[in-house]
Amino acid sequence: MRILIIDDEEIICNTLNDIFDFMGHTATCVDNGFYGLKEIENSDYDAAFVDIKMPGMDGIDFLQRMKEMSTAKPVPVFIMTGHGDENTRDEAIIAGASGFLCKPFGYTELQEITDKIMESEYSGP
Amino acid sequence: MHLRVPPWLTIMSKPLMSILAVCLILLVYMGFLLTTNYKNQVALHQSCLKTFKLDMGKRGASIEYFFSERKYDLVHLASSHEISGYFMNKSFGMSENYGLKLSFFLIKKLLKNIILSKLIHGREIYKRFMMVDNNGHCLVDTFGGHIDYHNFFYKKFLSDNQKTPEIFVKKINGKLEIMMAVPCFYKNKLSGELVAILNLSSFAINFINFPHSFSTEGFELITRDGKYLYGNYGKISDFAYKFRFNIPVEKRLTKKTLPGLLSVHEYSKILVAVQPIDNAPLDLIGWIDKNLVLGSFEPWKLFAVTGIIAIIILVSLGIIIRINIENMILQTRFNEAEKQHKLITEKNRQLKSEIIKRYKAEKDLEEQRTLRIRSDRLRSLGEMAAGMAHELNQPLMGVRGMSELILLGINKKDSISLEKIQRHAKIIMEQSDRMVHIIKHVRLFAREAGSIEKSIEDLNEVVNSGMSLLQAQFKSHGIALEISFSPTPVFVFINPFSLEEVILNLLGNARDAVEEKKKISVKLDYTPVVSISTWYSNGDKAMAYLEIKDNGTGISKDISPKIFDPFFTTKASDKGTGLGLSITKSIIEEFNGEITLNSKEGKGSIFTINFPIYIMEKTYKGNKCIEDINN
Repeated sequence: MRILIIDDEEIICNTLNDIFDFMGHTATCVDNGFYGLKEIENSDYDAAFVDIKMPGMDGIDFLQRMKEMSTAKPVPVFIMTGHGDENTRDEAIIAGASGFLCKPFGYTELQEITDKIMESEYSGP
Repeated sequence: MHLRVPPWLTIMSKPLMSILAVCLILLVYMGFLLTTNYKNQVALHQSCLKTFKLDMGKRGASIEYFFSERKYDLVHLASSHEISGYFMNKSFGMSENYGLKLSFFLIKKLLKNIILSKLIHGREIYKRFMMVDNNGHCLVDTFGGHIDYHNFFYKKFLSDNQKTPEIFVKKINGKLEIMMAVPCFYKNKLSGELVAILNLSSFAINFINFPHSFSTEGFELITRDGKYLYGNYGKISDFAYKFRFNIPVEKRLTKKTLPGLLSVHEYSKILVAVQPIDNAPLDLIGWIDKNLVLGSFEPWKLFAVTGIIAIIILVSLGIIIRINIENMILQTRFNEAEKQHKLITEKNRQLKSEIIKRYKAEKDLEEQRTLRIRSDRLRSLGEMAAGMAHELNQPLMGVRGMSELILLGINKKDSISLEKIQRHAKIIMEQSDRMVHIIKHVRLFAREAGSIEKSIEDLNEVVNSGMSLLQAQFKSHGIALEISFSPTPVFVFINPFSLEEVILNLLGNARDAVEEKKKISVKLDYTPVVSISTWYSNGDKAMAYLEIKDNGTGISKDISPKIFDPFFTTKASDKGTGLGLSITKSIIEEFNGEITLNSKEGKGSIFTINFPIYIMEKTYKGNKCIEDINN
């Protein structure tokens, strides 16, 4: 399974990369939304984990832009946030996010999500 | 309309006015009394003179009456049958020695009888009678009969034509005597004369020594030609003597000088009246001591004295009134001063209460302000805490993820290499350190926030540490944070935590501004940029500068002068108290710095802060402080 990670925080990228690696998935890290959109356009991904707050383009923006792109195949997007804020969660769900993750999360939470993706429970927005 | 009263009148009190009125009334009354008195005095004076005149007139009249009686006596005697018998016998031719002796005897007896019988107050009126014939020879003389003895010069006193009795004054034996003569007729033929000498002393006792009805000083009987006959001086005074001896006779002859029965002369202090006796060649003079009768107090003197008293009263009244007025003026001034004092006291009281009120209001405001500041602080602390949570969650996730991987790897046995564990553990260490750093900073901030204890700090370090708190937030908000520090450290005398607060505040504002612009921006390629930079200037006035610049919405010219005012805000009420910039300004001023705003609406804002450089790097190196800092 190929997973795209979009976060400007290096440690998040590293940690997620290691966890997915441990699970046996292939993860790619980019540090902003623009690169993320490019990646999605160019390669096939099974899921994208996007940080909600990023310079330039935030997670919601990314989601909307990705939906607008006709060329790319829709990918289930999981929004990650440092604040476990209800409003942000609702906003993300309305925007079409497949899931909402509050930092810090770990192997267990990700295992659940990847299992569901494998069972094709999630589809792109 | 306000009627203006002269000031001196306003202060005339009622008692003073009444005193004045009473005094005036007294003066008028005094004048009235004076006039009446004067009139009375003059009337008295005149009545005294009148009384004096009357007295003199009465005396004169009684003397005249006396003389007319005496004349009647003589006329009666002259026609008595003794005397006519003598003339008849003589005409019969009787000799004097024999035939007429009886007649002489009878006449002498008659005359002697007259002398003895005619008395006044027990004294004889007549002193002596004589009878002379036409040739002047003595026929009868009541005095002894020894004619030669008296050496009396017998003669006829009356002229042949005289038919009525006459009174005259003759000097007999060196003494003036009042005498009377009456012609004797026989068969209508002048046959002789009857002569009488009056007893002057009895006469005087009766008429002159008679008790004075008026306080007459004295009398004098004089002949018409001014010879002294008899006088009674009463209390003989110097004046009387002077009068008696010094006044010339002519002046005393008043019939010439002053016609009438009576005239009054004033000699010195003696009032003299001359009363002529009509049927005798005599004048009666009376005098009084003017002072005794009229009093030594003359009417004009009363006037003068009263006038002087009145003037003294008026003058003293004037003085009293003046003193009174002065007192009243003083009193009025005093009252005025009292009033002013009261007014001032009242004003002071009001002022005091106003001050208290204001002080209270200020205190309230201060309390409110403190409260707001506190809430603002709390809010920024809250914001910071949220940021802090976000900030902590990043390394925490690393720590958790890595440790989980290690655990999972170990559980799965051979699936994790030692190298991997090492790498994971290293990340855990790094991230833990990062968290420790954040927590330490928060603790310091919490402890030191609000303290204004100043110390020498490197501006760059302070900016860096303040900025680092928001760096993650900026990144997560998608705001680019550009940093440009001065090449060498800039040492300023500040409180680092206060300055961090300032930086947090300004960066927060910048963040809000760019986010606002992002929201309204039409262009999609808007990249919010916030830059923070420090630099310094050299020279006498070396200054350190800190600039925070954003390309956000900017601040309009209308509100830019107000942004440093307390509680001024454009944000929604739940987002800011409007105290941030005012606190910022007060903090900067605390550090002797200045904060200026340069903003263009729609383009962005630049906040520039400048501080005096406490010490330049070069100098600083030699300073002992550097050791402390390095340590």
